[in-house]
Amino acid sequence: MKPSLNITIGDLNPDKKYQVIQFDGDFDKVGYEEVRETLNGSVKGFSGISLVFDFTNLKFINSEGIGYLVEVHAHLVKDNKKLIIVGPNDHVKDVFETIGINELIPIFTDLNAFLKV
Amino acid sequence: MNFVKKSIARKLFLNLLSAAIIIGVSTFYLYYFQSDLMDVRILLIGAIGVFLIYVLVMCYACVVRPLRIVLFEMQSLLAGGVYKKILTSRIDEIGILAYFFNKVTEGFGQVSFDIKDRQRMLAELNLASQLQRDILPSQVPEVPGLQIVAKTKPATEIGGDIFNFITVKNHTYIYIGDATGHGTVAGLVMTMVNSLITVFSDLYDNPYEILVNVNKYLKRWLKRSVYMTLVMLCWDNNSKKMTYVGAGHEHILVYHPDNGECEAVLSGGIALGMIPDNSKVIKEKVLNYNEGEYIVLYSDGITEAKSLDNEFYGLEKLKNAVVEYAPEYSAEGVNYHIAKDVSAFMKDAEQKDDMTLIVIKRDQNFKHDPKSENVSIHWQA
Repeated sequence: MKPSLNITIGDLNPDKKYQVIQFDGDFDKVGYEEVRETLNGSVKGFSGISLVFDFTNLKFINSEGIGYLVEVHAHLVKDNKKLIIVGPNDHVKDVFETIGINELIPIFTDLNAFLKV
Repeated sequence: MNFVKKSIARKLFLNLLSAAIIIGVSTFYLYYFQSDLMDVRILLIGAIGVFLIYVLVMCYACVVRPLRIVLFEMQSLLAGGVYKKILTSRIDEIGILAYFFNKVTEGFGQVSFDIKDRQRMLAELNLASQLQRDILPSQVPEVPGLQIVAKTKPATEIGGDIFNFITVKNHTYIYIGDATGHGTVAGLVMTMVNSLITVFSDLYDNPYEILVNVNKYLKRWLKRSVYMTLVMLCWDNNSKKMTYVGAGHEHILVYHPDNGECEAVLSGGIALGMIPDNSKVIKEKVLNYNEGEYIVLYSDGITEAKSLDNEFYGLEKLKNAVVEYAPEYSAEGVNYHIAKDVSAFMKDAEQKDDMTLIVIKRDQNFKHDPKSENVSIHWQA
């Protein structure tokens, strides 16, 4: 099956030391391993301070996807870096609040809201 | 042409021609130089007899015997008996047949090994599945004042959903959990959590301390991307109060018959296994739960069930189903009709996640039916 999620990896912003990765589609088990491999390269090679996952066009995330976010968060925190989530839709936001991921990872309405902080 | 040179027919022809020449020359010699010793007719009959015997021996040795060996092995193969590799250096038709047989049965051997290996894995999977079914409660618990019905439907042989009912002293703990994904890893997490809760419910007398300690031990063993959402209700059989502790699980639905509304209470907290210490994040809260009201607990396999049009069943449909069925049915009926509603919504769409549904009605007049101990926990709709 074709992955139902497209990922666009942006460049590292040299001033503010952040990098944006955009998600478009469903983060579910279809193509999960492929997506994970694509992201792993960026996460391990990340040299900035804040890795921003832009979920503006993410329609759905399942428990495996959330598990992966927790894994990325733990990996970055170990190196004094952080994972930021911006622009989740109502459904994704509900899932985050239900599972309690907002206790771990800062969530902003959009990229500008994060940059203002 | 090379093949013709090595064919049985050519080999037989050359052998028989050589034999005919030798026998012919010998007969000629005897006829001309030893004719006084024997009758010419006897000589001819003898020569023809020797040639025929030679023909028969040659046919048996070169064709019949090796062909019989090949056919015997083939019959054994087709009859499912024991067969063995045919050893030959021949490169004629029989040699080719033997070579073909050996190659085919080599493949069969691999396939047979694969089948046996698959059968072994399936047997182990069935065993794991059976063990998991044994972990889940096999009967409806008897809790005075509560009518409880729980059903589950795993997406694969081994599910990641868990639920159980444990009564210790005056407390009855009712919990539902959902491990990341489903399959073997989820099944192992589910087993670990169930064991830890069973142990800690004997050591601590409240759901908060039970889940703080479950999380502490679970986090030590879990990989970062694996976790379990869970909500635990605690029914005090003396005070008739219901409290709950959420660990990142779905909403708790409470149906109030007085106003006909279904309230969705956020269970709160953070999923078990996400952080090393959840003691500051989870808390025990009182649930407003009166006589005649229903509590519905569910796993996300229900709200995230998809129709053929790729639409989610969703929380709103679930709440609507509770509002529709709760005024008419018992806990058993509400559970059955919601399950049926979800199945009708999905039609032939693939079930992607485990589905579990627990319905609890507060009913002081409810008498536990011993026959209900045989009611299956498996989703019937």
